[in-house]
Amino acid sequence: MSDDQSYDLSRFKATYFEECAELLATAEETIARLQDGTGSADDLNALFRCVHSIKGGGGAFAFDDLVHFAHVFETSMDALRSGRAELTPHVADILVRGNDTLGDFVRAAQDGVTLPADHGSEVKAHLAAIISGEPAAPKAAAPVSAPPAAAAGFTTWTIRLAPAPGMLRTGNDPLLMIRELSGLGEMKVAADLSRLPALAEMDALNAYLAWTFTLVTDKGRNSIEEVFEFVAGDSADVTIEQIGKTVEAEDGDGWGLFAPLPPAPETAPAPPAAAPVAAAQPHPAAAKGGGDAGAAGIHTSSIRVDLDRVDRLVNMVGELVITQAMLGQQASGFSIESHPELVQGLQELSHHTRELQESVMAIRAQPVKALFSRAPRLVRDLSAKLGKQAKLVMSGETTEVDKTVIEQLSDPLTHLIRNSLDHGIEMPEERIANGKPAEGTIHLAAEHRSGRVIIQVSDDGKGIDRKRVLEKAVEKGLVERGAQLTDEQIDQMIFAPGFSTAAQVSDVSGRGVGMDVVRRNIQDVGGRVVVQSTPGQGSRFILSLPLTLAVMDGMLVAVGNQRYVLPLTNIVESLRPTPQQARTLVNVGDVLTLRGDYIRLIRLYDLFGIRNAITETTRGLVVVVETEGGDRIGLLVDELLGQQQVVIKSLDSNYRPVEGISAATILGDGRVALILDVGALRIMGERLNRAQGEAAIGAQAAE
Amino acid sequence: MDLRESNGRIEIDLPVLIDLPASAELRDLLLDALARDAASDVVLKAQAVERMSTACVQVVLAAAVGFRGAARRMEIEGAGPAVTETFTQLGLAAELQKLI
Repeated sequence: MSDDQSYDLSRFKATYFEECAELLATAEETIARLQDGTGSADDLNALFRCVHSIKGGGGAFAFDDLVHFAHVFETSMDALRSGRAELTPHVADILVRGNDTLGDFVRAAQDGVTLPADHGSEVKAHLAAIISGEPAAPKAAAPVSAPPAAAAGFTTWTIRLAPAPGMLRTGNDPLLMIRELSGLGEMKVAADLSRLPALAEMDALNAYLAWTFTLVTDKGRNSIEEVFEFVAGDSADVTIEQIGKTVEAEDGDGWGLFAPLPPAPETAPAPPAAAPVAAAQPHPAAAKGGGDAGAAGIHTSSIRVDLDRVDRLVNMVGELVITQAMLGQQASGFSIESHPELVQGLQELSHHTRELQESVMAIRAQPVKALFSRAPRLVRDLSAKLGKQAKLVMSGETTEVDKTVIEQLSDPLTHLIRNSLDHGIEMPEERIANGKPAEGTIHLAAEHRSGRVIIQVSDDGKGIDRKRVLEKAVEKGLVERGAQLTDEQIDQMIFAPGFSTAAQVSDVSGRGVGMDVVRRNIQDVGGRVVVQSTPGQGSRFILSLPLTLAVMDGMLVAVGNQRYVLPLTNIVESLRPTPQQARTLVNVGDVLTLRGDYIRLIRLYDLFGIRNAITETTRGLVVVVETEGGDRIGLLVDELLGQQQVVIKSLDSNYRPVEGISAATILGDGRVALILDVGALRIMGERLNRAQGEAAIGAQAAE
Repeated sequence: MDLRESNGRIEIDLPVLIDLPASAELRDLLLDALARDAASDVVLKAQAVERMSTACVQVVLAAAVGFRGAARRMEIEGAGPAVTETFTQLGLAAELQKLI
């Protein structure tokens, strides 16, 4: 074999499998709509395109089993979208299984394994039954309305395919397209050999042939364009022209195969029925007045870019933000009167940098829909398995969040949904006995709130059994017997490492992923998870995640000689407390009274052991911040140094995790400042107060 | 893929799958054959072929023109359904007829 290194299929294969994953997810989502009756004719077309695209790519890589199955699937979809078969709930179920099996073939092709010869044969038989119109199971009483069939009519098309020299190297063989095209109707092929060079001058990897096809079909232009969707534009020049007018088929002719063929256009005689694909001599371009010329081919409005390239761009923008901050700091001594151009230029630079940063982040942003699309299936399958009744309500699927965050969220979200179904939602009879509807509801919601993404998984189940959780925690040695814990503290125990017990592990929830792993996964992407639960009414898991992992708006604060950054989105207000506002309560510690509320006061200098800081509450500044759970705390700092956009540098990967610190950043003067983790500070503050309280009691006892 | 001289003719056994890299190899072999003994006919033995790419068909067509120009003959021996269908689907059935 040739050892030409330039011919590397693996790169194209990787892209193909990436596309397959997206297409299968889209297909699953579409089938879910068809299943619950909210689907439309567009959904059937979309599903067809998904299967068709997977088949097309599979053919290019000679994944024969995959292509064969996809072909049957695609043909059944075609029968549905043309109205030749009816979309009943039973048929929709077959489509779900069809998509699963197609996924099996894709994974097998990706892993290079061969599936058993009869893999998916049952599903294939069901799909074939859709095509033949012989239902393999009785139809349901209330069929989902199938979209109306398109008017069956024949049109003659002239299609010219002139591959670019490099087309074959991209894994696209014209042969596969020709085979697919011929499947659309009666076709005549004329090859053009005029570009074929002498053997000695030939590069065997280049494409030299071109073709003109005359196709008589009842399919539309879209079907023809789909055949060339992988090559039109960059890899080949594709022209699709309609010849003459559409000839309507006679009534009752089903597929239209037996309808009289349309009058043969002079330039494109209808091929004889006995030779569907026959050789012909090249002929000149025809049909001057025949419809609109599709010379522009098929355009795509998006491009696929390697993630590394985007990440490099994100990093460079991060560096740019730092440089811009540095320039701003250097020029802070200049007034607009003395250096108008410089000051104005720096302001514009700041403005443009921010816009650039937002645009770059938008490239990485993806709707959480990709994440949510698996949920309906999960709920359906699991509730059936557990003998429970549950419906899923989703909202905010279009909310966008960074791709990395989405990837990291997949497992935790799946686990939370499993958990809600397994431990939250009760059995139907139990629900009815408690005056609830037999069918439980799981609500999956996403929204943007104060510069973060909040994802909530809530259910109307029985809520957390705090008594049992506490018993379990004592049993596991996580808390001491007799310890007084608040409801909230007990609820949070479920996230403690080692809380998951063998008794709790079922084949549903117990997949080796405890709630502590859920929390860790979320923390890894700078997020937090809290749980709110009302006994008998249900639980709500709130996941708060950063929109982006690269840049954020922060408030620079000083504590002694140290500089810290507080995420701007956490800050509610700042104030210099009066002696009346700052108090110390027994068993609680320092608090701040603010408009009738008590807010826990946390002294940052105390927490981080900083000297030379202001220790008197009334001389320092208190920044009131809000955690994701909605709690407010006051942080005592020396002063506020100003608002600033900061580039987030991971402390975990560059140093090690530090409690109370979420990340680090580089300031304009080159100094490193730590970014405070407000949620963690609250916990640390409570612990410190408790320790100080116990020490004080100990000291009194000693006296 | 090997080039073999036997009984005054040059034979090349085509593999089961003639994909893009195999087409490049075939081109090199055919160029070699074209440069060899000016009297020998060239036979492409296609009994084993199960799948043929467009790239391979191009090479065969260009070689056929080359041999014809050199007043030599190149033929395909044992062309099965895979070969016939490939040429036919590409609109080149007539070209194949000249080679078998």
